Amino acid sequence: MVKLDNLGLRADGKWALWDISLELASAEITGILGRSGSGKTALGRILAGLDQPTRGEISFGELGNCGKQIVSVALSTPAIARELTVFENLEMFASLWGTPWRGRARQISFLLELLGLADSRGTRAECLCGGALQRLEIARALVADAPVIVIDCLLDTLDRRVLERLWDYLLKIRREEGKCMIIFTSRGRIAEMCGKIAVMHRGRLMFIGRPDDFRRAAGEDMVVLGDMADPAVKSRISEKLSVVVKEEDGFLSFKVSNGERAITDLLAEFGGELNCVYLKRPTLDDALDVIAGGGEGYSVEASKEAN
Amino acid sequence: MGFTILTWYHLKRTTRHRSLILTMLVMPIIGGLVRMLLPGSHARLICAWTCPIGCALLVFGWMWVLAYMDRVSGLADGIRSTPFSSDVIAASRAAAGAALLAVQMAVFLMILALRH
Repeated sequence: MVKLDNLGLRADGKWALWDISLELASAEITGILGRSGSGKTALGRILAGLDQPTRGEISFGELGNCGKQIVSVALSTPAIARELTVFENLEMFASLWGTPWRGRARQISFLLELLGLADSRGTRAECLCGGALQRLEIARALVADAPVIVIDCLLDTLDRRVLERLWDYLLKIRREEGKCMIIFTSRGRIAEMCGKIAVMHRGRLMFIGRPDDFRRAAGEDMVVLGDMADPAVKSRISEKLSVVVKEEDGFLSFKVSNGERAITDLLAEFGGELNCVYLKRPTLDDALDVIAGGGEGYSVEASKEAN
Repeated sequence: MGFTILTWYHLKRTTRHRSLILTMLVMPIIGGLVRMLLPGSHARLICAWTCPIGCALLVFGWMWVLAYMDRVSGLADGIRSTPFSSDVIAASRAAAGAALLAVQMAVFLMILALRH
């Protein structure tokens, strides 16, 4: 549905985005993960048709080439008319996007309920706190009847309950309406929920694939065992699972590529002797740190190539 | 359609600034009264031109401030991301300004009509 081909954006004499090639299908939630300054917002603005790329192309398949008519974007800086009430803001954007008049009020009320803004329905936007404004911005993007929805880093700070409710709704509209959703985030826990992620660092795409595959970039899983009654068990585990077991502060630990399987084997073999066992998996944030640490040369190379 | 919706909401937003609306209404009232009460055709002629020009400048200034505030607050980006071209968006601002000026001129002419 959305195809980015060798996209580049030059701003202030530097390449803010370089060589971004990505294909996003309909009925798919894609997370774009990256630290602050990695170029996420710049990419989001290009997708929404707010900025034009310096090089490369963006196409939306059968839907056309203009993001303005296809992409509804929730920007990290809320695009809200402060003089209008919460309801009026949503009504204005729903009308602009051509949401059918019938059922519009019901849809807006539903979104306000979903995002915990029902009590602020008649409140002027200028009286809302920062968090409420961000939720209103998300509602603004969702009220539009657009086939592609982009949410720029607004899920990062959402309350857990609201996030769960919202995510259920996103899954529902993906399933029922086949919308393509692009979630920009700097948090691993948000990216983890997406079926597919693209990782950005210094304006470049460093990884495209499943979150689990990216997590492996941070290293192996670590299995930690504590409170061991029999000290000899260390060598037995080492022998049985062919791993190097370390001992530190009374805890045994070893690294393994598939921690879940190792624990199953461990319990089957030493179940009666283990008092405490837990799995420590690297997070997407850990993997992002690895990419960020090793990405320096990559970016410099890109700049040289660009100049 | 987008043109009408945007014009309507620009006007709606303007009405929320009460002191501005008050200034916009007071201006033609004062202009009309001064023109009514001033003796001599020369002064009346000056007043007849000054008031509409002042009203137009006020409306133009307000629309410019509104556009600037929208750009700073990010609302302009939100509106630009809708399916309408920047020409339509600019035209809607101009139409909202024209509507405000029309109301002011209607007030001004009504006061002048009182004399006759």
